[in-house]
Amino acid sequence: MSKPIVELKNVTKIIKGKTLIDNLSLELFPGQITGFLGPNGAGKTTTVRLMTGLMRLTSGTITIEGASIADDYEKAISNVGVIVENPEMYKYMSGYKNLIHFSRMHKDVSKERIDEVVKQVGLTKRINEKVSTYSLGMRQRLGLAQALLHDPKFLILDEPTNGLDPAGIREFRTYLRKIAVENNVSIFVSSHLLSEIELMCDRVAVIQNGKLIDERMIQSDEKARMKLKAEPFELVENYLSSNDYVFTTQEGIFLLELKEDKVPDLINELVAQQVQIFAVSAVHETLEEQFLQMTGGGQIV
Amino acid sequence: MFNLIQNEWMKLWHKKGTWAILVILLLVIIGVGVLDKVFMEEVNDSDWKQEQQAMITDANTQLQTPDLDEWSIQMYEEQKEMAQYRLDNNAAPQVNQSMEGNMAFGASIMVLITLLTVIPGASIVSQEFTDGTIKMLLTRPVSRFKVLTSKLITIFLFGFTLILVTIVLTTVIGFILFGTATGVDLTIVDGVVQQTNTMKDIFLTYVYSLGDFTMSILFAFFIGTVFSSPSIAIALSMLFLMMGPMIIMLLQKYIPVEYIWLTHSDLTQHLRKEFFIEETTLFMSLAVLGVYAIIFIALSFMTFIKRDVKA
Ligand SMILES: Nc1ncnc2c1ncn2[C@@H]1O[C@H](COP(=O)(O)OP(=O)(O)OP(=O)(O)O)[C@@H](O)[C@H]1O
Ligand SMILES: [Mg+2]
Repeated sequence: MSKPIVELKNVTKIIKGKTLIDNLSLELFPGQITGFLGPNGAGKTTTVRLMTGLMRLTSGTITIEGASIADDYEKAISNVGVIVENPEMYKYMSGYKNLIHFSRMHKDVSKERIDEVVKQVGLTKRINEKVSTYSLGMRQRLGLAQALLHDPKFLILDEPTNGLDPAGIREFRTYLRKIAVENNVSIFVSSHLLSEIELMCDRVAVIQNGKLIDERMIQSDEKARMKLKAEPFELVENYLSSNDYVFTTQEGIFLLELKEDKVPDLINELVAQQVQIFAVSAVHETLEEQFLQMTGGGQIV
Repeated sequence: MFNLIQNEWMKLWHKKGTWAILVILLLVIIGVGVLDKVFMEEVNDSDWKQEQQAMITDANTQLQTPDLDEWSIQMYEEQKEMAQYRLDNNAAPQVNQSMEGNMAFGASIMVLITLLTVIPGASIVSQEFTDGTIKMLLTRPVSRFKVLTSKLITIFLFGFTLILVTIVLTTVIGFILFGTATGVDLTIVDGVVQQTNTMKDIFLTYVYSLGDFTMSILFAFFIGTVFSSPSIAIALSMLFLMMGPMIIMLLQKYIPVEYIWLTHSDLTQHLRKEFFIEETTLFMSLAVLGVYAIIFIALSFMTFIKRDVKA
């Protein structure tokens, strides 16, 4: 694994005696998309605010490319693109003027680059209209554009797909994947939409009550689970047990650990044994189940 | 820094309120000029020499009166001296409105210009907080110190722009409507008759009005930055600007008001030689204002740089 681009060490934030972030340590790597998962009020946005210098650390350190956010702010933030909660733009100006505004605060953002980003987020037609006339999703797209403007090496996105339509989310996901792979950008995405994190991220960090409670890689297809509905029940059960499949049963349905590429083989075997197959489908709820289990079913504490 | 000021300037002029401020100022300047013209009764004073002669005769007659009080004596003596001066130097009196008069009017509305600058001054920081845009502004490779400095400079640029507009417009409108002055005004300084230097007076009025101008803007900026509420900042600064002398009178009994900036911020006191409280030197006034200016600026910067941004 390459060297981390971002390091949070023992990050703690206390406001008025309340510990919002508790001794949180985390490393983020180039080319990797890390999901930041947690129930409402867990401290995701607070962590993002600390990482971008909007809030001061009570203790601990955050470094980005070796520069401390507390002591060397301008250097640390120069390669960061960020969306914190809803991107609030200057409503009384056009989207384009907003981008000009932010581009002037970075080094070397050309007009061509602005046009390129506008095209990338699909706002070309409306970019010269006032932001006050934009829909929620369009504002979100503009927010993404301002975060990407200066070609950052590290992207922090707090609830970025909030308000995007399905096509928008899909494009967005593809685009994130593309810049992670091609430009080696490190991406940190907070969300409480598990399915989204599962689809989008390589790795997930789970936060609750300001504490990091879990951190793991997401193995997308190696450990996929399949739902199987087939009869007769005993025959299938015997076959699976005797062939060392890992499975459980639930109301006559089999849940088994099986990679996608092994599915045709299993079907062929079962058919050869005169088993009737009604349905085989992939299950994507592992992370969700784990998440609910870990965080206690979404109680806001 | 230039980029940041350019940004602030762009945002300022994209707000409708800014244009409203400019329109108000233009209406006042043009309106007063036009009204002056419409209601002015042109006085023909081609025989001013006879009039001045008559004034001398009149003053002499009055001075014959027995038991005349000292104040009247002085008045008639001065009347005589001035009339004599006009005859000796062929200096006709200025009886009609003139370009110079209209320019002096311009200098007298510095209070209005100050009020109009206080409004964006109070909101240039606080509105970023109420709109939530502050988080977009502060997550850039630019220190908070520079961001705030650019905002402060922009507001003063705006104020000076309004002053410049006023100077140019009152001059142009004055010239078009009234033409340049045909006579001179006289004053008596230390018993000697002198021609008033109108241009110098106008210039000094502008310069001395910068006291209230600077202090009000700094105060509005400070309150707007610390409390992130434009309305409180606008209300308080307007109150202090308009009621400053009254507040000072009220406080006089309880605290040493000579150390309050409101006592000194109207520097035209030194021009008029009329003081709210007691006479002070210009140096003393500037020193007090300087200290408060530093306090306002320092507190603005300290809170802005330190604060946690939750927007
Ligand atoms: N300025 C503040 N003062 C006191 N408490 C705060 C402040 N800001 C946030 N909090 C508290 O910190 C906790 C974490 O808030 P945060 O906004 O980081 O949650 P989140 O994980 O982003 O939640 P969500 O999923 O709802 O966006 C919450 O309990 C919140 O009430
Ligand atoms: Mg949040």
